[in-house]
Amino acid sequence: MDGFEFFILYRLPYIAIPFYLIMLSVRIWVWMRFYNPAIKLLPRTRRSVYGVWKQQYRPTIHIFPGSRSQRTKWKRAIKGFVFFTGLYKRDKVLWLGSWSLHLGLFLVIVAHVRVILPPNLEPICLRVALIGSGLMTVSGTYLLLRRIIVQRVREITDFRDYLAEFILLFFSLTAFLMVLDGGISSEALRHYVSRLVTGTAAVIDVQRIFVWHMLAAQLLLIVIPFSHLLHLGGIFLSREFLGTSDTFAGDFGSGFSGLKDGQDEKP
Amino acid sequence: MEKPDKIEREKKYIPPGMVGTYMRRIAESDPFVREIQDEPSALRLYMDTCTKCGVCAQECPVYYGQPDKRMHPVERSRQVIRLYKKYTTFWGRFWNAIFPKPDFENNDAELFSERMYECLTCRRCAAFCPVGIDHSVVSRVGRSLVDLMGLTPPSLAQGTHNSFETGNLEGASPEAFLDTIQFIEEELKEETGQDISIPLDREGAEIFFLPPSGDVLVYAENLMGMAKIFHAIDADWTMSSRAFDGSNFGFTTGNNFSMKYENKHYIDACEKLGCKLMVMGECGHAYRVMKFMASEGHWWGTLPFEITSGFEYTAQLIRAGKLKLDPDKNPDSVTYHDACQFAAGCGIVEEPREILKAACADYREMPDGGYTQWCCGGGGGLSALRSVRAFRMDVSGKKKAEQMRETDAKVVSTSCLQCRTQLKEIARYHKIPLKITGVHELVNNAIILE
Ligand code: SF4
Ligand code: SF4
Repeated sequence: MDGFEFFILYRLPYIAIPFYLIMLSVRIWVWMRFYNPAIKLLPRTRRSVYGVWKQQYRPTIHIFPGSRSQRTKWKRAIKGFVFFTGLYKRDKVLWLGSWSLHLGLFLVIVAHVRVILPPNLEPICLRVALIGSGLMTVSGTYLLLRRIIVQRVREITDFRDYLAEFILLFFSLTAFLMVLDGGISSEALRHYVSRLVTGTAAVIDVQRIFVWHMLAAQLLLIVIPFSHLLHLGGIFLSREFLGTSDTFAGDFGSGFSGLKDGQDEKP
Repeated sequence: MEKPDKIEREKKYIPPGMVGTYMRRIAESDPFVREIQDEPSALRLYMDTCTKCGVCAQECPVYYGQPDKRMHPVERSRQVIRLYKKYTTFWGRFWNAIFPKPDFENNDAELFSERMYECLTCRRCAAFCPVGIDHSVVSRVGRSLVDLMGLTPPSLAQGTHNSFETGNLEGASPEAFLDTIQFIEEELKEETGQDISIPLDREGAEIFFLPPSGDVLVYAENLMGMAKIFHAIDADWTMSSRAFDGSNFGFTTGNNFSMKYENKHYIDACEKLGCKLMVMGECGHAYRVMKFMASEGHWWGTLPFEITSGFEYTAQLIRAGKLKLDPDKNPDSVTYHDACQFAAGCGIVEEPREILKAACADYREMPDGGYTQWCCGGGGGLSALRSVRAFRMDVSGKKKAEQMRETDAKVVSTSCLQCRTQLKEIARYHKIPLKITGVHELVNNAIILE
């Protein structure tokens, strides 16, 4: 194991993972705090974080009329989150690109569960990883090209956005090549994770591409809090904070609160 | 009405050099309208969650009219967000201490003001943005800053001032109003042969009707339509000689203080007369602020009356079979232009259509109608600005002009004074032979009185 490999596999994770978690927590805290500045004026808000949240959700005003029926809210949030329905309605090509990118990411994450699965499921997991990383690579390339070619996207793109997308592409490409090359055995992976957890570095039997993949994954964790990729974390919260489930799901037909509570499904 | 000293309001004005003071303050909360909690939080979230996909630009009527960087919604919002970051976030302050930059592009506060008024606050972007970012909110924060710097376009500033002081945009006196009402009553008598009265200041009436800005003094046909409806169902209704011009310019100019107090005129009038239901006419701004902000936000406590819009009210009567309408009285083909504040702001989409279908012989949809309507190009107060007429006709109104040219209808009906003014101007400027009307104006033609 050379110095580069040692650093990427056994040193950088101790920086990248806590960094990511701390930065994301800070963001979430800021979003929470900013939900309702008037919260500071309310008595008893210091008691518990839950108390703060609960009081923040007291019904005051919504600049954005959204559905107030819990069922409708959930239905839309799930529809919007799982299928990107809003985008689908408008731009089918972009929808295909971004939906398959996220689906690919989901499959790649799922494939990692093999660490705790019985060995006979390994081939299936590797296939899932191959499909996922393949999808990510193809759609990531499309999205990056779109960013470069389409004027209205290029106009608002800066260096950090390109960097983030390059890293994402680097991440999916290394994953794809790694799986194509036979993948990493669950055993080797388990061995690596346990070494990482216990803080005892050891040589593991993996291809060089795994090291590059780990580098990409960790760079991704570092750039996410500072890039447009942060929408991954913000998207759930923004819906709940701002009560804009309607636009999220792209479901324009009903549910605005023009009607009374509990009846906000229009006929 | 308990109204803070005017001096207190004046004190709010800040010179352009003190932008940071304001930005820090909105990060805390607006001292006048603490309930507008979504504004700073929306800004924070939007700052962080934009995927930079460009979908908003594709859907924005302004960018459609002039597809360049200046008109890009994200780019406009960035002007506000960078100020916010600069003065309220740790890293913003840090970098500013090391590499100080001017507050505004070219150090030009007026250019900044101009740019904030290049957004129509129509929310079309929010309807399509994959993460639901609403640039109208960010532009409104920018407009608040513009307002505090005293750079709000003069006609809007004057309208806000009038509304704040007198409760009506034109600053018309109750005497002028009374004269006009008398005239409208005479017109009604002449037209129908019946005594259709427009009751004023009648205490204990069940319904308080608040016509929108312009319906009394400019487009009386809408008011006549409402008066006939109330007459047809024998409603116990009244209007007020003190609050007869529903609008909200504070909402448009970003002046939260005015937004809140303009609204109070109407609430006071309704409360004083002891009415149980406030029916608001065809003004989306006034309705949105009243229904979704003042009432739901309990700005003035729990209101002792219900609030509904004229659309919901009339549609309900039609559904219940209480109104008789003769569609043949409106034989021409009619289409409907959704006013942004009603459709995207309040979700009132079906009701005007129900009314038009009942009142007109031939109703046709306009493409993309409903929540995702294309703004007329005069939204966000722009149609009141003569200074930006070229922009309204050739840039922000370009898409609407195309839609108007393509429609096979002969009449475009709409529901807001601003839309109506803008659509009329578009028709004239682009030589499109279309008639522009209000919705209740067509009801006025079609209603059968027994
Ligand atoms: S559509 Fe939304 S996410 Fe995409 S660039 Fe516009 S604001 Fe950002
Ligand atoms: S609110 Fe309307 S005009 Fe303003 S950025 Fe969004 S789509 Fe464009």
